[in-house]
Amino acid sequence: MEAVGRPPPDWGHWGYSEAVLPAEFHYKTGPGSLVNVLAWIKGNPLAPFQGKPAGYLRVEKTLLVLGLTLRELDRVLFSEDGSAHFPDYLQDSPLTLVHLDKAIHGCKALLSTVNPGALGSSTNTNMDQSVTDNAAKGKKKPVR
Amino acid sequence: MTQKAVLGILSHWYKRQEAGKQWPLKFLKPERHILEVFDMGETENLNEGAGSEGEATEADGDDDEWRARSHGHPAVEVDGRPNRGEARGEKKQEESDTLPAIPSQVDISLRKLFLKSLSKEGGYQKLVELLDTADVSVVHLIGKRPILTNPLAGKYSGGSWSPST
Repeated sequence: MEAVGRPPPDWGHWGYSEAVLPAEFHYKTGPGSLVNVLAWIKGNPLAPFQGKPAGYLRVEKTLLVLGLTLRELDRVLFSEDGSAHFPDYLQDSPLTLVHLDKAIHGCKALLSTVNPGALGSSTNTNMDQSVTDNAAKGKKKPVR
Repeated sequence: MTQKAVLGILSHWYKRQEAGKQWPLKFLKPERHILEVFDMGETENLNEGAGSEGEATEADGDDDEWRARSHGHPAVEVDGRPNRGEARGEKKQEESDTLPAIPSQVDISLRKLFLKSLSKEGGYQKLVELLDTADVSVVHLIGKRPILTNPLAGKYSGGSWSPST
């Protein structure tokens, strides 16, 4: 199994069996914290590895982490008081709109590195090229 | 046009319809207040943009139902107007509503839908579109170098490569 940059949070997989993210996500530090997720995104989890572009499963897994992060932030920030089905740590989370902005910015930054301005095209030749170009420029050095 | 005249026209049209004529009377769209008189309720707002004389007006739900029967498929109506596209959208919405909230409970075939449902944020949605793009890329690049391939499609499972994880 390959690893690119930082490892993803330990809850970032399809076997995760909770409807909400663990309390660790709301901590200021830790491998499963939002701070670490943002750093992981910043490291471009879709960067090519050993010259090969990201595979489908890696893209899917990256989207899972991003999506669960955004969903959790949405719950923290926009759920009405009295959402009793959410655990206390979520309702008392210190996360704010600033964190949501950072997560959204991370999505956009990731998008720009993968496929600048060419999404929605019927082919992804441009994406292929951009990923390859980034690798050639040494923007991201994958590490095992 | 008096209500009596309209009633007469509609009655005649109905008789011809029931007689099995292929294309019953085609008439100008009824006025809004006439629709109210006939208690057509939800079809009232369909007056806007309806056809002119000589066109089949689809403002009449009976007409749609009759046509659907004659063509052997059920009439699918959205706000009183047949719309199979929107009906498919509703089905998709239903699927989205029934998605589990827990990743481990998401069927493999619904993963993309699950991912789309996690957030409406624009950048994220565009990233999800990468998965759609991946399917297309296989067609163009399979001979050279497969990228972002979809192992779930099962089309290339016998190939000499495997997607990275």
